[in-house]
Amino acid sequence: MPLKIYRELEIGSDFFQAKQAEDEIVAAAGAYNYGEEVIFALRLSLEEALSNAIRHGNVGDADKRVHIRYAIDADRIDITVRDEGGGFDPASIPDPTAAENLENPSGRGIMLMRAYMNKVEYNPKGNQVRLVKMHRAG
Amino acid sequence: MSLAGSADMREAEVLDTQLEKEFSLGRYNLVIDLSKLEFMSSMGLGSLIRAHNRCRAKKGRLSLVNPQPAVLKVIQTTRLNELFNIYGTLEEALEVSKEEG
Repeated sequence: MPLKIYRELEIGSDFFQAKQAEDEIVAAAGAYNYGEEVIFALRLSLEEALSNAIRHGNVGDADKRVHIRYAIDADRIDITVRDEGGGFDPASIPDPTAAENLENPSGRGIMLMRAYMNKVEYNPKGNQVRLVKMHRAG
Repeated sequence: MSLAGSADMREAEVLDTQLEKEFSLGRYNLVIDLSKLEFMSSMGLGSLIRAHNRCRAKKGRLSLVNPQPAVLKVIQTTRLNELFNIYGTLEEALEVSKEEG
């Protein structure tokens, strides 16, 4: 396997293309012996980042693209997802685990990314998220 | 009903359609077997929450049966185990449904 994989890609605001990108990145991580738990965490976090970019960032606008950059080596998986929307404040999302919010069908994406990745960082505008997952032994 | 594979951004709509079919038949006591479901994202959770809310509004009940460990972890991480009725076996779920009439 190569020492490091680095790739940039661009998809439309379309769930089918998002799944293809997700599958590509998960397959790339698979080449580095990341365990099942890491692969699940990666897939879940990518799913959340991409669906947020499409549904909320680009508001499903077919003319808006989602830009993905990923770097994978034996130590870490580092992914950036950027939409072409106006951005938002991640701190404005209510806590989905609060009792009064449990019956709300949406609002869990960011919380799940933070729970499953080692690092989740938004740019100041709020239209780009960086996800980092470290490789742990065992 | 039984879910298999993934409940993700592409499959959540399919799940919504399956659930809508049940509701259109007047069925609001639903038992969903999750034993073959390998992946669930927040969109899949959203479908289940909407279904839970619909069932409850009609005095019915949504029960989830035997989720795989990784899927159960997603449910627990989001604290939705406090909302959903989750059972280890179909028999358990059906027994409780029967008791609650």
